[in-house]
Amino acid sequence: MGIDQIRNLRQRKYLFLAAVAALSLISIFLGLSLGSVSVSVSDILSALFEGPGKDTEDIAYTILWTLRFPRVLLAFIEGASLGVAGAAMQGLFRNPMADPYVLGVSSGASLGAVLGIVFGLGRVLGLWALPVLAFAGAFISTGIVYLLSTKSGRTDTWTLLLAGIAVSSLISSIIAFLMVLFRQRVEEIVFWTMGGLGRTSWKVVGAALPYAALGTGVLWFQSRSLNAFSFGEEAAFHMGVSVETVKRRILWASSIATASCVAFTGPIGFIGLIVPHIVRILLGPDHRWLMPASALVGGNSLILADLLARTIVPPLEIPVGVITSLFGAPFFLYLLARTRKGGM
Amino acid sequence: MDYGLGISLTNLSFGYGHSLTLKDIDLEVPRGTFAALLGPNGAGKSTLLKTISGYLRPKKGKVLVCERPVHSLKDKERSRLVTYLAPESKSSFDFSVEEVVIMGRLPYSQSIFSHSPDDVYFAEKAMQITQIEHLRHRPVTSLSSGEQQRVQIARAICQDPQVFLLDEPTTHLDMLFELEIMELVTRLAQEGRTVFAILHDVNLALRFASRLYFMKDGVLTHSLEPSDLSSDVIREVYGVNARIVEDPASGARFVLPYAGNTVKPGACGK
Repeated sequence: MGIDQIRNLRQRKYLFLAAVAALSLISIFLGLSLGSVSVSVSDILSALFEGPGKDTEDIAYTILWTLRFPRVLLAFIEGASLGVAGAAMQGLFRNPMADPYVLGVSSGASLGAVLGIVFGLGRVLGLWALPVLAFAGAFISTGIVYLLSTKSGRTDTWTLLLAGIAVSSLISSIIAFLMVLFRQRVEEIVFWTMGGLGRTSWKVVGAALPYAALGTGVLWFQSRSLNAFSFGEEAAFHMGVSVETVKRRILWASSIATASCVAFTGPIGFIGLIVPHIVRILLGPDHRWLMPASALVGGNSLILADLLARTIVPPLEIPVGVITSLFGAPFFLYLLARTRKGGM
Repeated sequence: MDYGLGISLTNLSFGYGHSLTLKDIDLEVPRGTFAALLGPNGAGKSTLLKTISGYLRPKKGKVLVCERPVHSLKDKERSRLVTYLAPESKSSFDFSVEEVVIMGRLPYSQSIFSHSPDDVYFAEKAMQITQIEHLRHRPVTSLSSGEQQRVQIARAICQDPQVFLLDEPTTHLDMLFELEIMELVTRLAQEGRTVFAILHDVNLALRFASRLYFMKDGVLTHSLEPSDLSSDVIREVYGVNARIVEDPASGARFVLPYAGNTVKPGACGK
């Protein structure tokens, strides 16, 4: 009887994953179809069957293959990375307020990009200058946070959290300082730090995808250890988890997964914070399911947020980070109120 | 019934900096024994168990669990040999009871994703003998402290180690479950497992354990058979005057402390 019930639960979880996967397909089609020029579903399908690289005057075909496909794909990849990394961070810190950015990934990436902007490196070194600088910035700040909280092979989780907050706010003030010094670049800086998928191309997707896949894959493989972390690191140790190794893997994998996307789009907030919460309510806290489901829900959310960002006030494009916060923050407050009432 | 030694400590010291929390402890617990660790608050009892479990590294001395150096074993291997159960452990997420119990199978996991039939079998058995089957789908965060404690004990049993280190396993349990857990632990020892448990209640230890260890200020002061427990030991360790009384019906002995007649430190031996 017991085994049956585990199986039943398992079936429910597969059903949920299937449903979210189906929703993702719908979001992808919406993302491909809607925009300044609408493309019908049949045009999308025929463009898909024809494949890329066809020499044609067809506007729908060109828009789809050069703009929308890579953009929707990057939105999905980034949303998925943020969802999985958020779930991992919340599990590691045993704190529902943790998100993929607690270790300084977003502030570090921002500083890298801002340095590139104020010194005009994008103009000198070309299109890849900012992403490379942002990626480096993300890793340098995560590295600093990691070193500050690691002593003789042991990383203290609370120090990690505090060091992350301190380094992030230090970097924010450096960015503010740079903005005052280089006033003529303020608009560019603000736009970068608000996050947006407008600069996406196939090359960007190709550059981000391997890192995002590697990072999220490594995180998923830590699922059972993360489950044990729920009772604290000491309890996890006594359940046979290699605590320090797992911790290091989670830190670096989630930094790789998020930094690879954030380097191109700028920081996009709230997805990594909220998505794991929603999934946990619907599916339970088991990380083996939580992570793939968060990937799908996160990917879905960012596709839809980006769709809103480029269609809500045409012809303007709103930074997608603004949209995710605009919808994410109230939704998060609603979740808070719900859990406070004990309605889980 | 000689299975060898479950726990063997030689000249064990532990501490931070210059102050030592554990001082030159020599101790041997044969396999298949339920041994109780007793002593006043701050004596270093939990520290001792965590050093045996491999969590804390001794400053000097040797720690062997089932004749193996626990601190140099791989994590999975170590946790198939020994586990430590904290007096209280709260989950930050609302896992269901059966999900928590089956977490005990982590050191045996072949796959990151699925549980083997063995895993399910051990989890079912552990829930059965701790009588928490009816709670299986409840989130652990919604349970009472006593129920949570039984879930943790079930998880430890599901982990199936040779040596159980239990830190006050009966703290939150009411009288009935307290007795049932003690009987369960006794049975584990009869099956050949070694149980070393910190107990707050001397009488519980006196009734169920087959060996008593007393600690005070980081030193192992007494190691004796329950039948050798005298009021002198209680006075030396706890600083409390007591009488050992025998129940005429069952022949069981128990410690009756005198309320309001505690001995001041230094007044021992008068």
